[in-house]
Order: sequence, then structure tokens, then C-alpha cells
Amino acid sequence: MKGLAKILRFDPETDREPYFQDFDYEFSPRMTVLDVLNLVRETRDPSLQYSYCCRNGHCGLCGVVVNGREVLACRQAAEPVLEIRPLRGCRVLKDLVIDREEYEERRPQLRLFLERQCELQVEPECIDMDAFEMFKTASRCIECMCCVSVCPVSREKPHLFAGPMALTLLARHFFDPRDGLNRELMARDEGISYCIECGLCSGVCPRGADPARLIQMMKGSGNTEP
Amino acid sequence: MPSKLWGDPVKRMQCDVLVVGGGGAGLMSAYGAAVNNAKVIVAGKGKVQRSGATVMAPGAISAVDDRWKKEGDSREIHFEDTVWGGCFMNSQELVRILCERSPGLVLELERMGALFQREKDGTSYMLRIDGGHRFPRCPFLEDRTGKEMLKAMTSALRKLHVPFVENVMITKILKIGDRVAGAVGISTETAEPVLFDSKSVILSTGGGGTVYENSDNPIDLTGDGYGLALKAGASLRDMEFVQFYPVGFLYPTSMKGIFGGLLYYCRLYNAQGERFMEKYDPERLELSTRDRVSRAIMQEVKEGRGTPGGGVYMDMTYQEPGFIAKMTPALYSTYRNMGLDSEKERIEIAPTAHHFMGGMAVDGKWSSGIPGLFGSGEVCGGMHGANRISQNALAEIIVSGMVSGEEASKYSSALPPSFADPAEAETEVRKARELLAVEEGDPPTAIRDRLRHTMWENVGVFRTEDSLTEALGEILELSSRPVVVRQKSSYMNTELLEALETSNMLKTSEAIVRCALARKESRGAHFRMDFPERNDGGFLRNFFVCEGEYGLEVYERDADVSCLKPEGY
Repeated sequence: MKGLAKILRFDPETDREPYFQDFDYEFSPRMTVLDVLNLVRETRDPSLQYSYCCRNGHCGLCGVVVNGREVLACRQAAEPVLEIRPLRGCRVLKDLVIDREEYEERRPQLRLFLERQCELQVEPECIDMDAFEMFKTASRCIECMCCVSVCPVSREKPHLFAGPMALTLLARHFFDPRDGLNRELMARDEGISYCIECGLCSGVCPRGADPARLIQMMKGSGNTEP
Repeated sequence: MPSKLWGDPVKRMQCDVLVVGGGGAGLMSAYGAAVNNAKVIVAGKGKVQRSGATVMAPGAISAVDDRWKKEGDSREIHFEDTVWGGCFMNSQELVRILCERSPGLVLELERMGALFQREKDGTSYMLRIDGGHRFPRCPFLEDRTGKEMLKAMTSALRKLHVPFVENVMITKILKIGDRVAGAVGISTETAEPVLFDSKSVILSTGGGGTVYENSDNPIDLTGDGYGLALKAGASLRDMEFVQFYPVGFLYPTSMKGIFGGLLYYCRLYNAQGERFMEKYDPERLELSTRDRVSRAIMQEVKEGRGTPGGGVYMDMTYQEPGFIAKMTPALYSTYRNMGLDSEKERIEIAPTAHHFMGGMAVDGKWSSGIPGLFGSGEVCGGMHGANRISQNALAEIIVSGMVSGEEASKYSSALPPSFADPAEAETEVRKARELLAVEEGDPPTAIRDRLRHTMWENVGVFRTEDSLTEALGEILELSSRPVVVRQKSSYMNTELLEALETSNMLKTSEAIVRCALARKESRGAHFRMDFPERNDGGFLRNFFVCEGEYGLEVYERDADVSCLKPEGY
């Protein structure tokens, strides 16, 4: 069966603006979107650019928008008609590859490392198991940026709101019972209050990190603060 | 290609210790060097936390310590399990260091920010047991222990301001005289050269599973470290030992070889509906050792009882509804994403290349013997011998990482700053330009496809003198073919990167075949149909390869049986 993939192309060296290019391909029911991209690159256009590494949802590199929805190309079943574009809200380096460096610039001020306040006494140390559960949920994030792409507030307030991914990364330390920094203040500083709780981020998260719930719990903290 | 009026100056960086590779081993090496006061740079082909094999490791970290060990367990028993599993091919010196240092480094990972699964009391580690271990002794976190380790390592390194130079593929280790003086690489984004002046280099580039058609490795494990080590004059050892995990997907194509299921929860059937393990191991059936299950599957395929895709069927339909979803949520979601209902249908699977036991030969300081060249992680050989027992890979990462970092730092502190020759950068760019200028030949993917096919068919689970000879011929033929990069731009040229990788894949494959030809017996993961028995009398020795005047040369050394000896030896 013939399939059709409409892929948004852009080469900053030669193109004034992005454009859709159609590729037909041999569709079979067990293909992933990544299979389609590989096939197009191999048989039709070796210059087609997209990123991936692990092939199975761990490296977080292959996030794209397929038929209007943020997905990991490696874990998304292909359909006979596909419209594939890069994640939204980021500069495009080429075709489907986005510039992650913009986001990296926020990282240092988030202080995404363990900041202990008290000295370690006994190892392994005793951990509050409820807080540990939340720590685990937040730690599932693979930084694919699907949530950033779908988030309406991130697009509307790119400077005031750090976005669901940054807040999820922060949540790992927020819920780490060993951490001594005032992460609540940091979350506020990153604009957590602008979150409108639409829940779209959790809807597209491929790893079940549930950014919406994490943000809600950090916002409402006080009683949820471990 | 837009031409520049003036070329940019060469990007040049200086450090004491250059770590090549941004997976778990590389990051731990960087940490070991940084906390020992060396100036460190991590250079990687991909991005940190998004490249290498650690990121997808679901396993656990083997470590025996008085604070959490089960009654009766000891580091001595961990040592024995590892050497028995490795069929006496291990460097017993390395295994000793592994067992001694792994527990302390598990705790160090927690100090760096990781947390591992605990029992209800919140203190005791929950421990896992898996193939080859006599006791549960392995801390873990959910089914993403590797990722948790990376998160902790990356955060600790960011805190220490260790720079990550990402998207740079190191193409050559530079030496002045005998000593390492730095390295040169090429940006995978701009194809521009990057020059590193460094007193020492730690190779942490991982294995090379992608030389096989079926592999669960990420696409960037192309044996780059083996190519670099050989070019720098180091030796590789035990390359014939490649571990195959029995259960890898055959579909979809992009997921070919990806870890597909747990042998505990399934039954295997051939195309005629026979539960064939009854023939090969009637007692343990699917729970036989991994190498035996892999061989049984391939035997069925060879004898014409395989599935259309060249494997067998994995059946989980007999399980209670909901059981698979509960016990293996990540796998279950993979099945669902592929449109497979594991409760109703059987899934085609085949063995898949999982881990390279062999690699750069190192001593107890993880030094290659070339002054200033160290290694860590899967790129090194000797720890696992002929077969790796489960959970020892993540332990190897932290131990080899820490020790190599400490030792490289110590080595470098005694030396004046190192300066590499900038002309080397020019040479590397010229080579890349020459590659782009080739108009006739095979694209890198075509060469890879042929290589991966011959490696799978002839150097896979089963090997014979004939199959190995055939593969060697094919590899040498492919190595001599011109590679054409169809895409000519220097900006984000994936095909150019693939061309560079392909030469490392070919070199890695040749090393495997040459060692496999030399070992005329069957041991661990290496199975010769023409020599199906283990032969301690003739082959209690390790095979090494190094770059000689006329190509790769094989030599041998007696195996290290200083502590533990095989029975009757």
C-alpha cells in the first residue's frame, strides 16, 4: 500500500522559509514514524535531517509533531498519511532537528544537582518513601521537549514561564528529601504560577513523568512539601 | 556549500584529561579525574544523557557490601561468579578491583544525586538477582537504572563545571613520540575540526553492537574506540566474545534487535508450533542460560523451522490478563505502540547482539600501556572474559570510570602542559573533504548493510572456519571499496558521519573475526560448530590484536588464573 509523508523541510543555508515536501513510500502496518523517516532518507533524499539514537524511547532525541500531535518518532506507529514537522516553539537547525541549546541556557540557574544541607551520617541513608515516589516520577523525564512544544503558556510567555520540562527537572530536586535548597522559591521564580493547568503536557509525555501533576503539587506545596 | 571569505581559527581546547564518550563510563571517568584535581573535558559524538548504551540500561549494579548483603554472600563469591561466568578468560586482577570498589561507588552515586530502590523501611536497598549471580546483590531503580546513574553523574559534573563538548567525533588520538598529546575530532554539525591539547585521553566510547544486523545497541555504538585504540598502537583482546541476548524484536525495522521480552514470562515456539526448548534443555526450558537459548533459536531457524522474519515466536498469551502489563510496563507499552496485543498474539523474536566482552587491553589502572591512554567501560576488554554475567556492566562502568579518572589525573599531574600539532587538524579536515569529493562508490549505509549481514550470518551465534573465512573476505573487500557521500554539504551531514563510523565498524568486525578464527574451541559466548567443546588444555589463553605492518596481527597470552583455576587444571 502506498503511503504519503508530508515533511516540513528547512535548510537555513539555502531556504528562506520552511516548506512541506511530499514523499510517497511503501506503507506496511508495522512501521514506526522513524521507519518512514529512515526509508525516505535512504531511498529518496539523503539530505533529510532528523535526530535519534536509542531507537526505543530513552534518549529523547526524536520528538516530532506527527499529524498535529507531539510524539517520539521511534515509538509512534506510522499511518498511511503522515504530516511530520519539528517540535514547536524552538529554532530549527535543519528539517526536523531543533536547537536544544536555547533551553540549555536556562539550566545553570535551575541548579539541577543535589544541594545537601546536613552532613551524611549513615549510608545508605533513610529516605521518606512518599517523597521518593514523587522523585521517581519526576526522574522519568527524558527531556524530549514534547511537553514544551505542546504547552500554550510556553509559547505565549517564553521568558516569564520556564515551561513544563524545566519544572519537571526541577521537581526531581524539589521532591528529593535530601535536598536543602528552597526549590519552592526557585519554582516561583521560574514562573510556575503562570501554568494554567491545562494538562496538555502530561497528555503528550511519552514516559509518564506527568509534568502537570508535578507542577500542580509544587504550586500547591505547603501541604505537599515533604 | 557556502564559501567563507576567511576560515575560522581552529577550535582548540586544552586540558589534563580528555574523556572521549559521554555515556556512563565517560562521565564517571570525568568525575574521577575532576575530583582528583585534573582539568577535564568530556568530548562526545552525541549529546550527554542522550547517547551511548547506559541511557537504555534497565538492569542493576552488582555490589556486595556488609551494609546490605544477604546472609552468606561475600565479595569473594561475587568474584567467583564473575570468573565462572567468564569461563576463566577474565583478567582476575580487574575482577578483584570490580568486586572491591563497586559497593563504595554505588554509595558515591547516591552522594552525586542518585537514589536507588529501597525496602519499605526507607533504608535497606532492594536487591535484584539475575543470571549468573548466586545471591541478590544488585541495587537498581525501576527499569531505568542506567538513566538514573547518568542523571546523577551529569548533575555532579555540571556542579563541578566540567565542560561537555558535544557533537564532536574524535577521529584520532595524537601522540608525540610514545606519549599521548591530545586528540583531534570533527564537529558532527559543521564538519569543522576540533583540536584538544591534553596530557592523557580516556577512551569511553562503548562497544560496537551495531556491526550486527540484530543488535539492541543504540545507533552510535559503532566501535569507534576500537578503531581509535588500534590506530594509537594499543591492543584489543577477547574480541571473539560477543554476547547475544535471546529476545530481540524483528519488527518494526527501526526497532530490530531491541530488547523484546523476559524469558521468565514467555514460552518460545518454532514455526511448527513446537516448544523447542524441550529438546535443548528439558529441565530449564526457556530459563536455560542465555547463550544456550540463543543457540537453540538459531538452530531452529537454520533447520528451517523459523518464522518468516528469521526467528521464533515468543508466546505470553497463556499469562493471566493484565499480568504482562503489570510486571513489565515499559515492554508492554512498546508492544501496544507497535499495535501488538501480547495477550492475544505471539511475537516474532530472534537473538540480538548485546555486549562486547572484548576491547582495549588494560591493566589494573585501566591504562592501555601507551603512556597517557586509558579506557573505561565497554570499550575495554578483560573484565568479563568469555561471557558477562548480568548487572556487571553497570558495575564495570563506575569502577573502571573512577579508577581510570584517578589514574589519568595522577599521571597527568606530573607532566607539563601538552601541545598537539595543529597541522593534525588540517589533515583531518582534508580527509573529510576528500571523502566528500568521492563521486563513485557505495553509500555508507550500503556498506554497513552488507557488513551487518555477513557479521550476523557468519560471525554470530554460530561460527565455523568456513563462515569466518567468508566474513573476513567480505570485510576486507568492503574495506577497500570507495565510500561515496551523496550529500555534499558540510552542515549537518549525517552521511559524512556515517562514512567515518563505517571505517571503525569494519575495523571492529575484522578484529572480531581474526580472534574468532584463532579460537578453535567453544567457550562462553563464542561457539564454533567445528569445535563444539571447550578445551582448557589448548585454549586457556587470550587472543589479542594490534595494528601491524600488514594489517591486524593476532598474538596470544596465557589467561590470568592467578586466584581461581578451572577444575583439574
